[in-house]
Amino acid sequence: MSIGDLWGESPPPEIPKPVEILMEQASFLEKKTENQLMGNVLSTARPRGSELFNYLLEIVVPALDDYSFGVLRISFELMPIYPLDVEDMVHDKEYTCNDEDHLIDVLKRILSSDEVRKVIQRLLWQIGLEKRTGI
Amino acid sequence: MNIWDREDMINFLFWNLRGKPLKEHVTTLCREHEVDILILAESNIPQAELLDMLNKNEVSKFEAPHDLSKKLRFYVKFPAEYFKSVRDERNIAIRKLELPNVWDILIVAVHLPSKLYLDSENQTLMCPRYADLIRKAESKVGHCRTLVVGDFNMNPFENGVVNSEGFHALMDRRLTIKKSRKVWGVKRQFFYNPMWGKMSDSSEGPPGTYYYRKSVPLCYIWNTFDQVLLRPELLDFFSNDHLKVIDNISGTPLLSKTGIPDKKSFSDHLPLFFKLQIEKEA
Repeated sequence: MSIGDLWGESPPPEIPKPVEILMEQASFLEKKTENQLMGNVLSTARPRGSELFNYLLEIVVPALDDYSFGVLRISFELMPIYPLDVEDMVHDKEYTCNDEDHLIDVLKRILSSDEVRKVIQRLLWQIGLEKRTGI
Repeated sequence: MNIWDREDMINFLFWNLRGKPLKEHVTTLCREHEVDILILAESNIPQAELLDMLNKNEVSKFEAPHDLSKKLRFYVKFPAEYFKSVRDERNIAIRKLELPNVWDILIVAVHLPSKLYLDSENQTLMCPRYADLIRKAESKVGHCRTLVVGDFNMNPFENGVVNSEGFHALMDRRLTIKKSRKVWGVKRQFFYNPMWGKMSDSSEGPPGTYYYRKSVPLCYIWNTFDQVLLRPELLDFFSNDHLKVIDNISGTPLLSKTGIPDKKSFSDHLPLFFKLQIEKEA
């Protein structure tokens, strides 16, 4: 006779939702720039023994030898995920997000900022320049 | 490119200007020391203005490669195509120097958070991030001919600089030549930190690169925050005799009469100068 499932609650999804949100934004950037700029989400170092997960959103430019520009980093624990910290590397700011809506709001503030738009413009401009000059 | 006239010697200068309008002094320094790669932190000097001054009446011209680093500025005396951006992040800018016929090198410039914002323990906890970025950049370019230069806001003996999960930068060239050591089962590469030899009043030059006095029990007063670290793969190209903390610009002292950095006229940091003699590729 089966004694049933002793594993308790289902494990959390394979990719934590905040990371999924970053990946989605990364793919929007790729679409917007016709794959001239790639969004990359990668797990980064954490102090040994730390329970924190760190993920970095960076812009990668294949036409410039895969040059990469760090945009923001999120740090969170798995259970519970919130409060989650966001390090805005473009404006040198830190945020603590209490829920997903707050996270989306902060991401929007960073990604649609003038500074980030300038970075994107300068990278696209440089890609164009290199294509024209062959440098 | 005039650098070849000096037997492949590449001269580097790093200076944290602390926002001071020091373009004339930077220019004089560059001419005096025949600088090829100038790296500035906390520079508010407009790029075009500094370039104009650096290049006035000069045959060999500086270029300011296109880059997105907010905190660190690069000026190089080669065509920008030889000096490529690898990565920019908040406190770190990584560049690749690919001169023809000599080994490529990776140049990591840092301006790490000040002790005003992060205490020593937290500075240490941040260092694995930078170490991780450097390892990733090395793996991307496929070699470890890497140097790290800049304002670490930590002394050579502080945990973040020395520990294996941070920069892992040690004082003994012979030891670091072994390239790495195993720490709890994980291989960790060394950096060599020649700045140990530039500390205290028994070293040649000033006792440090930055002076800060506060009425608290633990205060080093002189600090060596401005440093260059080299991977063992670069040590054949580097002599300790070619490293200098600069205390005057063409005879004009950067130190006051009491022997501390004259921060009214200049920066509170002293410039750091070093040379690499990069060998020709086999």
